Amino acid sequence: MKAKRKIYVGDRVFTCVCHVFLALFALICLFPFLLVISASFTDEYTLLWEGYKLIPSKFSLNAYRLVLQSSQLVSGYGVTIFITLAGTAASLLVTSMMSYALSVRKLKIRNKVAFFVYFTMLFSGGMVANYLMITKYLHLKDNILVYILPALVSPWNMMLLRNFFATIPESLAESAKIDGANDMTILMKIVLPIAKPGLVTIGLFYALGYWNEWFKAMLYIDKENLITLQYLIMKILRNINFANTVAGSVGVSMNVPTYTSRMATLVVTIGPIVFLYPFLQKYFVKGLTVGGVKG
Amino acid sequence: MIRKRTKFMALVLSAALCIGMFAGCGKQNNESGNETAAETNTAADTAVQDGEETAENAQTPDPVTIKVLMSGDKPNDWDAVLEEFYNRTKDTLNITFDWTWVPSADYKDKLNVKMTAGEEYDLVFDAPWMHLRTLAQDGIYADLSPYLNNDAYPGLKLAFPEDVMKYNKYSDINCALPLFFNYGGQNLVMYRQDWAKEWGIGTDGQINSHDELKEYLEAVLANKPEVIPIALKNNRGFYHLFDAITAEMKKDHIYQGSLGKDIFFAFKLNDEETEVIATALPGDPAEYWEPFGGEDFWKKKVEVSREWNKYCEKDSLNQADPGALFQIGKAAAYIDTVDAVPKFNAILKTNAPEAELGVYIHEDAARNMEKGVYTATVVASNCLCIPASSDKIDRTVSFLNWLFESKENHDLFEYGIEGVHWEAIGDDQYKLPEGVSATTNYNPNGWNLTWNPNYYRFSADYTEYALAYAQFSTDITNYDTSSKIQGHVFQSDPVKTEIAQCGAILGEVLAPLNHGILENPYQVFQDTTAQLRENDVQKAIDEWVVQMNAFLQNK
Repeated sequence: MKAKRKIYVGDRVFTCVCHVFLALFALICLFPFLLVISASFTDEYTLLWEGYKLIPSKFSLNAYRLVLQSSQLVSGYGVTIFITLAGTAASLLVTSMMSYALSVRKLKIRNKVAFFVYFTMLFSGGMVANYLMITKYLHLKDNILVYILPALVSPWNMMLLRNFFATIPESLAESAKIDGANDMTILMKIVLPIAKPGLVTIGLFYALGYWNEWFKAMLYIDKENLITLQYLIMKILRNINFANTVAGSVGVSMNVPTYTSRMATLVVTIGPIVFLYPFLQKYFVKGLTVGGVKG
Repeated sequence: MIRKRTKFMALVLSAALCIGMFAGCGKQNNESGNETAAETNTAADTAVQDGEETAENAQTPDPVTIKVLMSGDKPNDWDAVLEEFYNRTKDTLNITFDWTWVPSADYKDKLNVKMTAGEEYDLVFDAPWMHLRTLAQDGIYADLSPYLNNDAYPGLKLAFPEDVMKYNKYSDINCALPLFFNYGGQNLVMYRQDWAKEWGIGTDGQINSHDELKEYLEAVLANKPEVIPIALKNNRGFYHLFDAITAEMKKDHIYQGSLGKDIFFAFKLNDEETEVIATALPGDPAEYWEPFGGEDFWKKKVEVSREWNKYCEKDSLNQADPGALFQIGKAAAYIDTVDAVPKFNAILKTNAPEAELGVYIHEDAARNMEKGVYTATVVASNCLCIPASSDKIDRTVSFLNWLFESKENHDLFEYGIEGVHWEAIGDDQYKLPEGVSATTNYNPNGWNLTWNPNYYRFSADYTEYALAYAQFSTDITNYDTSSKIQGHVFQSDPVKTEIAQCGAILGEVLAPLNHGILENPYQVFQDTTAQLRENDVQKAIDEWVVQMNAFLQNK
């Protein structure tokens, strides 16, 4: 009895230590973010003179005034939200149709098709070939669909979902077939509802991919109102770094709040996703086991 | 359950519809784009007709749209400037622009794919530090020599004379128009002259030597403990303040060579300057330095840097923006070049109205404005090119000729509309009109389209002292143009493995040495160079010497 009690105390101490450690770790992770927020609410002069402080000695909204002047912020949000919603829905539909077809054993060419998809995971045509394909043949330059169409099916997600479908007993589909259902009905009415956890996880992967999209904006978009939010952030940061490396200036004097406005942009753009993350976290954990072999 | 499925299906279908709808929009946009182009053409046609009616003999060329790919963000008020350009030239050039601005940081990637994919542009920005060499080699850019030094194009003849163009050839052709505005900006230290005056340093606060600068920095330590005496940039350190090899050494035929990746060395030419006779790496044993007079030039540099490190902030290796510290008065001195003076002067005055910007030109020959000491830098870091695939080369060249033909034309693109964006002071200066804010005013980059020493205007924000040096730097007669090594470019491909290995070794110590952070700095240099020698650095230097000798003999 005494021994049991000892283990119990030991466990509790261990749990406490873990909790304290994790809480500290979380605080350490949170600290830089808090500094970013506080830095965005001060003026350039105070920030440079005093450095980063949790509570700045002078409060200023100048950085936000500058950032919110940009019309690109609104259009960036619009583009990103649209491609995340429409892109995720379209990707889920196409990926699940393809995955289902490849999980049905009676499809004779399925291994060949699967290899065709798998091949693209190993080899790629390179940037110039992709660029040619998308701009010369698909004519998707400066078109919002360029964010969605080339990324419609991710081979990795497709493989995951195919494995998930493979765990659904074939007898379900067979009995539906006897009742006169065709493949599309089986997919929509039987397989997809059962595969909901898998779909949610894959959907989350897709949504994150679309939300974080910036490379395609850099390559294929010249119109300012079609760039994504992430590219806007990228552009601001990279331009400031670039300006530091270019020697000489045209001689126009400027006193723009560069540091505080960077922080303000970060706060404004990080908005929705940072609040969404805690609620989506459990699906990430689930996602780790999707398509895995279960004992 | 059924209802849920129906909902799911409805969601998916509506998403598909949405995409379809936007696909439609995309097409419509293109169509409306074409309509706009068509409208422009019609407008231009009308302009042509009007022109014909009013001046029967004047020949207005057919309207044309020039596609431009440019590095940088679209300047404020750019459309107004273009509008003014169209108004001025509709009867003579009759050009409209389709101008694509690409953020500078992404330009390198984008230019490469666009040019390789054969996208049609009539004028692009490129640079030797981007893809100019490879794209010129691949024949992507048109040879502009027929238009240069040609009386039919007086603007180009004036702005890009033969003496300059012979150094700006790529793959042996003149396919790049060089953009620069001075022949070598003087290196300097900016400091607070009001403080120096107060502490009785220099001549009425004007610092004229390293000793006086040191006295000033000491005074900052003593009188203003909250201020950093001198702010250094992470990748520059003391920059050129204690240069090992100076311009004056060329009278002894001693120069600094570089293999790229921060591997530099001293080399000496024979008296006729036809052959390299000696090379030595910093930190090399004495026998390497004998032809140079016996002493390693870098020894003094790193030792003085170490001594002066006490004037820097502790974390100077991480300081990306030391200029900002100087601007707000947290640093008492800052190292840069003369063209940075107006910006710093204006901002410093805004932050501290009592401040007085002092400038110490730290190289003796530069400070004394000695003529012919410095070699004119005419190999431009930024250029304009015309893709060979363009079917409007003549018209594009006619625009460039217009741009560089007169000060008035050039001023429009470099400074904006006179009276609205800037006001002239004399022939070579300008200021902002009353009530115009620099943050919202026309703000082109200059280095991507217009820079040229013939037409440069100096900002009214220059201090009187610095202005004289800035003006000195735009006059080629002040510079030496007879340099034999100018234009040499080292092709590192045959020895790239050695260079990569050695670059990695040097990369670890160079920045701390430039900041004077390491103890016994010269010992560090000696140890590093011993390692470089173990990694076949001599093989790379030998290759460099072979190439340099071939270059000198072809002169």
